[in-house]
Amino acid sequence: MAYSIGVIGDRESVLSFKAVGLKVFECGTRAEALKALKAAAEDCAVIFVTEKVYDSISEEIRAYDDKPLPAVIPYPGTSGGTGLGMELLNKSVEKAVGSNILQN
Amino acid sequence: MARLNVSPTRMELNRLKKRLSVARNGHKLLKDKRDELMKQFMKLIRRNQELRREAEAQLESTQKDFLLAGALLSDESLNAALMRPSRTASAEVSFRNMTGVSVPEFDYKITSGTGDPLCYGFADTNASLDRAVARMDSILEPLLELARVEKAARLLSCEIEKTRRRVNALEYVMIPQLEETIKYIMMKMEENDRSTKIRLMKVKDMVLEKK
Repeated sequence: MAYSIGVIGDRESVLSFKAVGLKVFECGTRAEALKALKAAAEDCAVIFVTEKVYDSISEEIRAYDDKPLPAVIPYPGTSGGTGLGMELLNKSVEKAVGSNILQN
Repeated sequence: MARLNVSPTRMELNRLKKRLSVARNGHKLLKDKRDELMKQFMKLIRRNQELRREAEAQLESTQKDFLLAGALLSDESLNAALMRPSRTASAEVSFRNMTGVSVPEFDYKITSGTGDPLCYGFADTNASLDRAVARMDSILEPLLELARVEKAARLLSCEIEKTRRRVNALEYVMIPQLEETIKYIMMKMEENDRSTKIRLMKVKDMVLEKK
């Protein structure tokens, strides 16, 4: 089945995705971000979220962690990367192994 | 370890013995599952790290290109150029079974419109915007690959945690408890045997004495 690919973030960050035909949800505040996430989760298989927005709604995103769809993936927005993506990776290693074995 | 609260009967003993053998069996199987999941997870997580590093670098520089291209244009013409994309990109989803965990796979597809991502006229845009759009188009596929690997890693880590908890519960709670209870019942029954025997001997002595 074909699903959309969603992008959530501030206006500047999502603009480039819009151009190549992804489904874009602009948001500025936390409430908007939550609404966007809810809307995106309905028909998107993959949702790219800027690290900044991801950080503000990480509680809500965690609910999708153990569901097969959608995959919520953080990406660095135009304001630059915060290293959140790698941090999340390390967290999931910690969760699985019990200690962080990835040396950075 | 506390023993279970059961009455020390032969029937209970049989029942517990059966449960113990099931628990041992399950423990072995779950342990194997955990080890296999771990192996898969390690492979995935290394790849994930690589992909993420690459994708982040690519994406960041592409977004910079966009900003620079946009800076030369007026807001309106940039909006006009980009806000009506000529196509919709979507992901074809299929599921793959990875040691009992169903993991989604994404296939990048263009569902409507042309393959060409350039969706605007040449009049009020510049060449660097064209380049930025083309570059963005080329990194979509690696991004989806990243999504696939990252989702799989996350799902596996949830499953590993669950399995590890089960293994530990069996190993350190269920099995010792059952073993202890079985031992208790056996000892109790032996004790009963002995006391019956002694009683009989005493009775016999008493009967002999009376004669």
